[in-house]
Amino acid sequence: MRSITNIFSLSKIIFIYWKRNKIFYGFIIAGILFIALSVISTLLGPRIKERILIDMGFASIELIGWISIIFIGAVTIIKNIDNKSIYFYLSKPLSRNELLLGTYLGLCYVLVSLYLLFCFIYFIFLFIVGVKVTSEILLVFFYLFLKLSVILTVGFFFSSYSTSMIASILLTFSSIIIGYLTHGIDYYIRLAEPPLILRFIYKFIQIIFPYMEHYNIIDYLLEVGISNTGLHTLGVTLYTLGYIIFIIGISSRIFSKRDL
Amino acid sequence: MNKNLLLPIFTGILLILLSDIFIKDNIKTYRMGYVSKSYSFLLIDNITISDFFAVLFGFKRAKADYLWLDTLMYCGDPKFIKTGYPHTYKKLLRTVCTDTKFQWAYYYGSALLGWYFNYPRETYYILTMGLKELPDFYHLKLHFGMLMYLFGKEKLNPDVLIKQFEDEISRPDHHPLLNIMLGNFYKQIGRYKEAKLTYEKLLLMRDVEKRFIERARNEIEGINSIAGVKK
Repeated sequence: MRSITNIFSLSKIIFIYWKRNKIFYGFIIAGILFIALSVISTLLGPRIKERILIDMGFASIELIGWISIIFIGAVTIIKNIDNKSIYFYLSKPLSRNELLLGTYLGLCYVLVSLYLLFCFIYFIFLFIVGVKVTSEILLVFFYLFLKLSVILTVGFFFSSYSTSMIASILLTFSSIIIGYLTHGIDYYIRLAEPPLILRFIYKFIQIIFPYMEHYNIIDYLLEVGISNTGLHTLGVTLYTLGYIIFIIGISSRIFSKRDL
Repeated sequence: MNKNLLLPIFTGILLILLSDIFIKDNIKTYRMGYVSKSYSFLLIDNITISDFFAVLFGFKRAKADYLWLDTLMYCGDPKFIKTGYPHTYKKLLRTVCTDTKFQWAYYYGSALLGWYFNYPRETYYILTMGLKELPDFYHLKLHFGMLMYLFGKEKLNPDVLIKQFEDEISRPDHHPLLNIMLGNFYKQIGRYKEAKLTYEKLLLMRDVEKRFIERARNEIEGINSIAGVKK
């Protein structure tokens, strides 16, 4: 019980730390500008303004989400070590695992608050332009949230063992790119039907790197529709949960042995 | 080694493997079809690496929107009036290859290419591609008919166009205007028998607007009055 209280207390501290950080406001302003730009671009294509607003809006939220979450996720622990606040936390009755989980939970609060804010601004713009919010759009938002959660987790993982912020950001970004490319390998493996050992290696890569293609459902939802996506959504949610638990588990192991 | 730390790792792997049961292959590979189709865009000369990465990272639709807006900007630029907007086709092709289901790019793009800038062959390619990707989007068929009517005889191979149109008309849910268009084209090239048959097919269709029926009857009467076709 004390452990859970510790985790929640630390998460609040981490959230407050980022809330007071100027970079956080920078991300908010950039997000508003990105979304506003997507609205302005509808003026250039008046006949398809609904499509442009939906596509550009999602792309804007995703892009600013990527930038902010990779940055926040990949630097938090390194920053805590650099400014020595981690030693202050560890001097309290707080284990390393609690510290790690508390920090991650705090970052989740940051992600949720940023994401909800962007969505709120986007919905206001949709309302102003007169675009109806459909269940497909809401589901795309859900998938986008899952995607950003995975990116945050990957960033957090590299932050837990890396000593350099730049290295951590670059490694996170590289992993995400590999995560996107995995789908291409998947596609060609289905076509080529390679031997079992290669399939096993591929499955291993699929577990280690995030399978980002699961979250790129916007095309399907906007072109085919929401029907038949229920079980798929459940599967992707399970995958996301599993991946987050797996990566946090590895981070805990690494962080518990790390020289601070 | 702390055994408690191994528990989340194994739980995570188990959940990842379990999720495979629920994840549907048709949804999982839906976009991959696009990506592999979109590899065809590598054949276009002015393809950039940004197009590829946009498709890869899931910004396919947003990138196609951007390319479409870029095409519109180009077509609205008065400095290309003298040269006849020669890059419109390439720009449009790049747009529809990035998002192969971008119906309005096919629709407005073919109108721009065909009616405004007078590129019938390129319009034909765009419309053929559009009809292949979006067989239910009947607006494209109307454009196809228009293209046939305006350029069919002189600049395009009429038989190829007619075959495309006959295929569309054989679909039970086709638009009646397509019959009128094909009939007019047959008339234009002097094949009155086929023209009459096409109009008669329209009369057999169910739930057709009155104006189309009247139009078809008038056309049949007109053909009947021409010598050689009369019984």
